[in-house]
Amino acid sequence: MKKTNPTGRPIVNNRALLQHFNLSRNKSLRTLETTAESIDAADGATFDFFETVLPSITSSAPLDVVVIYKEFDFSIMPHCSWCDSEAVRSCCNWPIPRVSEDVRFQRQFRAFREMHRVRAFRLVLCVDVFDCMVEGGIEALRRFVEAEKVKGGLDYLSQEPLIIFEKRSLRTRFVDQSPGWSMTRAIHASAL
Amino acid sequence: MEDMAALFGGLRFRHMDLFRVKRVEFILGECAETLETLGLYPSDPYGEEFFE
Repeated sequence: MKKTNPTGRPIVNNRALLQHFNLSRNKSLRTLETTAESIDAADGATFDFFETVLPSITSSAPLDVVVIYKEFDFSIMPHCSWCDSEAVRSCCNWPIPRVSEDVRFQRQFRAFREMHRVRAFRLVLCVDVFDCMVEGGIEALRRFVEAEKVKGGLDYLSQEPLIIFEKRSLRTRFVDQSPGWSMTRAIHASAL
Repeated sequence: MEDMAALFGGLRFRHMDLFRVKRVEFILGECAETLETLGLYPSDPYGEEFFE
Protein backbone atom coordinates (compact mmCIF):
# COMPACT_ATOMS: atom_id res chain seq x y z
CA MET A 1 0.00 0.00 0.00
CA LYS A 2 1.27 3.47 -0.86
CA LYS A 3 2.22 5.84 1.93
CA THR A 4 1.02 9.38 1.51
CA ASN A 5 2.27 12.72 2.74
CA PRO A 6 -0.04 15.21 4.56
CA THR A 7 -1.33 16.52 1.22
CA GLY A 8 -2.49 13.06 0.28
CA ARG A 9 0.10 12.61 -2.48
CA PRO A 10 1.90 9.26 -2.53
CA ILE A 11 5.51 9.37 -1.45
CA VAL A 12 7.72 8.37 -4.36
CA ASN A 13 10.78 6.33 -3.59
CA ASN A 14 13.17 8.35 -5.76
CA ARG A 15 16.10 6.06 -5.12
CA ALA A 16 14.22 2.99 -6.33
CA LEU A 17 12.82 4.90 -9.26
CA LEU A 18 16.19 6.19 -10.41
CA GLN A 19 17.73 2.78 -9.98
CA HIS A 20 15.30 1.50 -12.61
CA PHE A 21 14.78 4.57 -14.79
CA ASN A 22 18.21 6.15 -14.85
CA LEU A 23 18.38 7.47 -18.41
CA SER A 24 21.82 9.06 -18.15
CA ARG A 25 23.37 6.23 -20.17
CA ASN A 26 20.96 6.62 -23.07
CA LYS A 27 22.88 9.18 -25.09
CA SER A 28 20.66 9.00 -28.17
CA LEU A 29 17.36 9.57 -26.39
CA ARG A 30 15.31 12.21 -28.19
CA THR A 31 11.70 11.43 -27.34
CA LEU A 32 9.76 10.49 -24.24
CA GLU A 33 6.21 9.33 -24.76
CA THR A 34 3.49 9.05 -22.19
CA THR A 35 -0.29 9.20 -22.06
CA ALA A 36 -2.57 11.99 -20.91
CA GLU A 37 -4.12 9.36 -18.67
CA SER A 38 -0.79 8.97 -16.89
CA ILE A 39 -0.30 12.73 -16.62
CA ASP A 40 -3.83 13.02 -15.34
CA ALA A 41 -3.28 10.83 -12.30
CA ALA A 42 -5.39 12.52 -9.66
CA ASP A 43 -2.96 11.78 -6.84
CA GLY A 44 -0.18 13.87 -8.40
CA ALA A 45 2.22 10.96 -8.39
CA THR A 46 3.09 11.56 -12.03
CA PHE A 47 4.65 14.91 -11.14
CA ASP A 48 7.06 13.13 -8.84
CA PHE A 49 7.74 10.39 -11.35
CA PHE A 50 8.78 12.75 -14.12
CA GLU A 51 10.51 15.20 -11.82
CA THR A 52 12.73 12.32 -10.79
CA VAL A 53 13.27 10.72 -14.18
CA LEU A 54 13.61 13.77 -16.49
CA PRO A 55 16.78 15.23 -14.93
CA SER A 56 18.54 11.92 -15.50
CA ILE A 57 18.35 12.52 -19.26
CA THR A 58 21.78 13.81 -20.24
CA SER A 59 21.44 13.32 -23.98
CA SER A 60 22.56 16.46 -25.80
CA ALA A 61 19.81 16.08 -28.41
CA PRO A 62 16.70 18.27 -28.03
CA LEU A 63 14.04 16.36 -26.16
CA ASP A 64 10.43 15.92 -27.27
CA VAL A 65 7.85 14.90 -24.68
CA VAL A 66 4.90 13.36 -26.51
CA VAL A 67 1.61 13.16 -24.64
CA ILE A 68 -0.89 10.76 -26.20
CA TYR A 69 -4.58 11.54 -25.99
CA LYS A 70 -7.10 8.74 -26.46
CA GLU A 71 -10.84 8.86 -27.10
CA PHE A 72 -11.69 8.91 -23.41
CA ASP A 73 -9.56 12.01 -22.83
CA PHE A 74 -12.11 14.15 -24.64
CA SER A 75 -15.63 14.81 -23.41
CA ILE A 76 -17.13 15.92 -26.71
CA MET A 77 -16.37 13.96 -29.82
CA PRO A 78 -18.01 13.86 -33.24
CA HIS A 79 -20.50 11.14 -33.83
CA CYS A 80 -21.10 9.42 -37.14
CA SER A 81 -22.90 6.36 -38.40
CA TRP A 82 -19.66 4.44 -38.51
CA CYS A 83 -19.42 4.75 -34.72
CA ASP A 84 -22.77 3.04 -34.31
CA SER A 85 -21.37 -0.34 -35.11
CA GLU A 86 -21.53 -2.73 -32.19
CA ALA A 87 -17.79 -3.33 -32.31
CA VAL A 88 -16.92 0.33 -31.96
CA ARG A 89 -19.45 0.98 -29.24
CA SER A 90 -18.17 -1.93 -27.17
CA CYS A 91 -14.58 -0.80 -27.73
CA CYS A 92 -15.46 2.77 -26.80
CA ASN A 93 -17.02 1.86 -23.50
CA TRP A 94 -14.51 3.97 -21.67
CA PRO A 95 -14.91 5.22 -18.13
CA ILE A 96 -16.51 8.59 -17.51
CA PRO A 97 -13.88 11.04 -16.15
CA ARG A 98 -14.35 12.02 -12.54
CA VAL A 99 -13.53 15.66 -13.13
CA SER A 100 -14.41 18.09 -15.92
CA GLU A 101 -12.35 18.40 -19.07
CA ASP A 102 -11.32 21.94 -18.11
CA VAL A 103 -9.98 20.83 -14.76
CA ARG A 104 -8.15 17.88 -16.26
CA PHE A 105 -6.42 20.02 -18.90
CA GLN A 106 -5.48 22.66 -16.33
CA ARG A 107 -3.96 19.91 -14.23
CA GLN A 108 -2.08 18.58 -17.22
CA PHE A 109 -0.70 21.98 -18.23
CA ARG A 110 0.44 22.48 -14.66
CA ALA A 111 2.20 19.13 -14.82
CA PHE A 112 3.91 20.05 -18.11
CA ARG A 113 5.22 23.24 -16.52
CA GLU A 114 6.56 21.35 -13.51
CA MET A 115 8.21 18.80 -15.76
CA HIS A 116 9.77 21.50 -17.92
CA ARG A 117 11.20 23.14 -14.82
CA VAL A 118 13.52 20.16 -14.26
CA ARG A 119 14.33 19.39 -17.92
CA ALA A 120 13.60 21.52 -20.99
CA PHE A 121 11.68 19.86 -23.80
CA ARG A 122 9.38 20.52 -26.71
CA LEU A 123 5.77 19.68 -25.89
CA VAL A 124 4.08 17.43 -28.45
CA LEU A 125 0.38 16.60 -28.04
CA CYS A 126 -0.76 13.58 -30.03
CA VAL A 127 -4.42 12.84 -30.80
CA ASP A 128 -4.47 9.04 -31.15
CA VAL A 129 -8.13 8.26 -31.74
CA PHE A 130 -10.52 6.62 -34.17
CA ASP A 131 -10.66 8.08 -37.63
CA CYS A 132 -13.91 9.98 -37.24
CA MET A 133 -12.79 11.56 -33.97
CA VAL A 134 -9.49 13.06 -35.13
CA GLU A 135 -10.93 16.40 -36.17
CA GLY A 136 -12.77 16.90 -32.88
CA GLY A 137 -9.72 15.85 -30.89
CA ILE A 138 -7.43 18.28 -32.68
CA GLU A 139 -10.00 21.06 -32.27
CA ALA A 140 -10.29 20.35 -28.54
CA LEU A 141 -6.52 20.37 -28.06
CA ARG A 142 -6.17 23.55 -30.07
CA ARG A 143 -8.84 25.19 -27.91
CA PHE A 144 -7.14 24.25 -24.66
CA VAL A 145 -3.68 25.22 -25.92
CA GLU A 146 -4.95 28.61 -27.10
CA ALA A 147 -6.71 29.21 -23.78
CA GLU A 148 -3.54 28.37 -21.91
CA LYS A 149 -1.48 30.65 -24.16
CA VAL A 150 -3.85 33.55 -23.50
CA LYS A 151 -3.29 33.06 -19.78
CA GLY A 152 0.47 33.01 -20.35
CA GLY A 153 0.61 29.47 -19.09
CA LEU A 154 2.89 28.32 -21.92
CA ASP A 155 5.34 31.20 -21.81
CA TYR A 156 8.03 28.93 -20.41
CA LEU A 157 8.19 26.96 -23.69
CA SER A 158 10.78 28.07 -26.22
CA GLN A 159 8.73 26.56 -29.05
CA GLU A 160 5.03 26.33 -29.77
CA PRO A 161 3.45 23.06 -28.64
CA LEU A 162 3.12 20.70 -31.57
CA ILE A 163 -0.21 18.99 -32.15
CA ILE A 164 -0.05 15.77 -34.14
CA PHE A 165 -2.51 13.00 -34.80
CA GLU A 166 -2.70 9.31 -35.49
CA LYS A 167 -5.80 8.06 -37.25
CA ARG A 168 -6.94 4.63 -36.25
CA SER A 169 -9.45 2.60 -38.19
CA LEU A 170 -11.46 -0.33 -36.98
CA ARG A 171 -9.88 -2.57 -39.56
CA THR A 172 -6.29 -1.96 -38.55
CA ARG A 173 -6.24 -1.05 -34.91
CA PHE A 174 -9.50 -2.14 -33.27
CA VAL A 175 -8.03 -4.96 -31.20
CA ASP A 176 -4.75 -3.18 -30.69
CA GLN A 177 -4.81 -1.88 -27.13
CA SER A 178 -1.12 -1.11 -27.05
CA PRO A 179 -0.10 2.42 -26.16
CA GLY A 180 2.07 2.67 -29.28
CA TRP A 181 1.53 5.26 -31.98
CA SER A 182 3.10 6.53 -35.11
CA MET A 183 3.19 10.04 -36.40
CA THR A 184 1.19 10.59 -39.54
CA ARG A 185 0.91 14.35 -39.59
CA ALA A 186 2.02 17.23 -37.47
CA ILE A 187 0.40 20.60 -37.00
CA HIS A 188 1.89 23.53 -35.16
CA ALA A 189 -0.58 24.86 -32.63
CA SER A 190 0.04 28.37 -33.89
CA ALA A 191 -0.93 27.37 -37.44
CA LEU A 192 -4.33 26.00 -36.51
CA MET B 1 15.82 -11.04 -20.82
CA GLU B 2 19.50 -11.73 -20.17
CA ASP B 3 19.21 -14.92 -22.22
CA MET B 4 17.70 -13.03 -25.10
CA ALA B 5 20.46 -10.43 -24.98
CA ALA B 6 23.09 -13.18 -24.94
CA LEU B 7 21.42 -15.01 -27.83
CA PHE B 8 21.31 -11.94 -30.04
CA GLY B 9 24.61 -10.51 -28.89
CA GLY B 10 22.93 -7.62 -27.08
CA LEU B 11 19.79 -5.56 -27.49
CA ARG B 12 19.79 -2.50 -29.72
CA PHE B 13 16.24 -1.21 -29.74
CA ARG B 14 15.63 2.31 -30.98
CA HIS B 15 12.03 2.57 -29.75
CA MET B 16 10.58 0.98 -26.64
CA ASP B 17 7.29 1.17 -24.77
CA LEU B 18 7.94 0.05 -21.24
CA PHE B 19 4.72 -1.15 -19.70
CA ARG B 20 4.43 -4.03 -17.30
CA VAL B 21 8.13 -4.71 -17.74
CA LYS B 22 10.51 -5.81 -15.04
CA ARG B 23 14.30 -5.43 -15.18
CA VAL B 24 13.91 -2.01 -16.76
CA GLU B 25 17.41 -0.95 -15.79
CA PHE B 26 18.89 -3.90 -17.68
CA ILE B 27 16.93 -3.15 -20.85
CA LEU B 28 17.80 0.56 -20.76
CA GLY B 29 21.47 -0.29 -20.25
CA GLU B 30 21.49 -2.72 -23.15
CA CYS B 31 20.04 -0.06 -25.45
CA ALA B 32 22.21 2.76 -24.11
CA GLU B 33 23.73 3.55 -27.50
CA THR B 34 20.64 3.13 -29.66
CA LEU B 35 17.48 4.13 -27.81
CA GLU B 36 15.85 7.22 -29.32
CA THR B 37 12.23 6.99 -28.19
CA LEU B 38 11.00 5.71 -24.86
CA GLY B 39 7.38 5.28 -23.81
CA LEU B 40 6.84 5.63 -20.06
CA TYR B 41 3.59 5.11 -18.24
CA PRO B 42 3.66 6.00 -14.54
CA SER B 43 0.23 4.43 -14.14
CA ASP B 44 1.83 1.10 -14.98
CA PRO B 45 0.82 -1.36 -12.23
CA TYR B 46 4.48 -2.29 -11.76
CA GLY B 47 5.11 1.34 -10.89
CA GLU B 48 3.68 0.51 -7.49
CA GLU B 49 7.07 -0.72 -6.40
CA PHE B 50 8.47 2.79 -6.76
CA PHE B 51 6.23 4.08 -4.02
CA GLU B 52 7.26 3.69 -0.42
